[in-house]
Amino acid sequence: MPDGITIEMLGPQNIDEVGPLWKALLDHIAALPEALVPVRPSDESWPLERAVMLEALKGDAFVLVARREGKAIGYLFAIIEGPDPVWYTGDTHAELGHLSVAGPERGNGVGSALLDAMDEELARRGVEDVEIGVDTGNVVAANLYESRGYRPDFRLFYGSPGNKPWACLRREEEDRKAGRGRFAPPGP
Amino acid sequence: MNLAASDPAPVDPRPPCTVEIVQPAELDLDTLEPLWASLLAHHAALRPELPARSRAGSWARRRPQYERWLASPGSFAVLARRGPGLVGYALVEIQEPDETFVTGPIAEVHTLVVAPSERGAGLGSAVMDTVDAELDRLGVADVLLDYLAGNDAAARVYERRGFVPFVNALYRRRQTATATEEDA
Repeated sequence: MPDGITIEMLGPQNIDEVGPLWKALLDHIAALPEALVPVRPSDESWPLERAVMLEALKGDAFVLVARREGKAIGYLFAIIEGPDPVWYTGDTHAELGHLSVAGPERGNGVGSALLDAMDEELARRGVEDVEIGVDTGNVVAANLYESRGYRPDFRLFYGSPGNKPWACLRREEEDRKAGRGRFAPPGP
Repeated sequence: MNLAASDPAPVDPRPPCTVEIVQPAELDLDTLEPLWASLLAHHAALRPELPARSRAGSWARRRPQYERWLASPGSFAVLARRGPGLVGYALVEIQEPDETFVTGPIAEVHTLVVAPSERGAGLGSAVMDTVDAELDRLGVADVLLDYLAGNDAAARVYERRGFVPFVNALYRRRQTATATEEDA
């Protein structure tokens, strides 16, 4: 555990503490050199993501938060899924939904400490398998996971029917022209 | 005299393949099981270091997923037949727009499989053409699909159709895992 860092479970009532860290993760994904599918603006994305997290937290999902002097500087969101149909996983397996560390705290071992805490929690619950989705081009994250024993599994591709130009880019271009979405002028 | 040079091309004595869209209400899921089992065997052979499930154990878990996905409005299957026999299928779930990325409604192609005896002849592309036609009809323009890392032939088919890498899944089984595969 890095000096001065504590890690604890975050209850649903305190979920907004990690809103800024979700936004930091979104900015990180958007800046990846191989990012092809544009992300939503964070003020549009957080309410949607927050709703997904709160729904999952009614079940077996959990959020771990890392703090320095009481302030949230990183978090992870883990979801418990049913059995994988291809690989043997027991009756449940975990999916790491988010892992975010605030920019100034990156490289200090906070991410590894959060992953250690997740492993402890999963061991306590008897969950033996974990799946993680890493955005294409997020090499630092992929290397961290591979160093922890994770191996490549399925690869998700994005496309449009009939090899047409990608709909996501067309939609973003329309937003740009109309000044909508992340191209909307700053609010009052 | 070289008779072979003037021989007509061999005629395939089998009936031709047909490809059609099937709505969930008309689909008997259990008819898909043999093709699912062939895909499972293909995955297991590609990645022998990963712990593949038994045929029965896999279908017992895949079938309820198919039921759940097909219950979503707009979801459908595409079946390829040669004569009366099923030789390929795609199963497509229509989902809400993504929370994180700028998409409209999403089509996720959960499975695309062609019988081993039919591979390499363009049948998978014909199934995907039919998927695309149905997505055009539905007005769905964002498509996700996945393939197992190492299945380079599948990746080439999708790349030719304009698909690009999006998310890579990583998987880890705890070193101390003790449970073993059960046969359903």
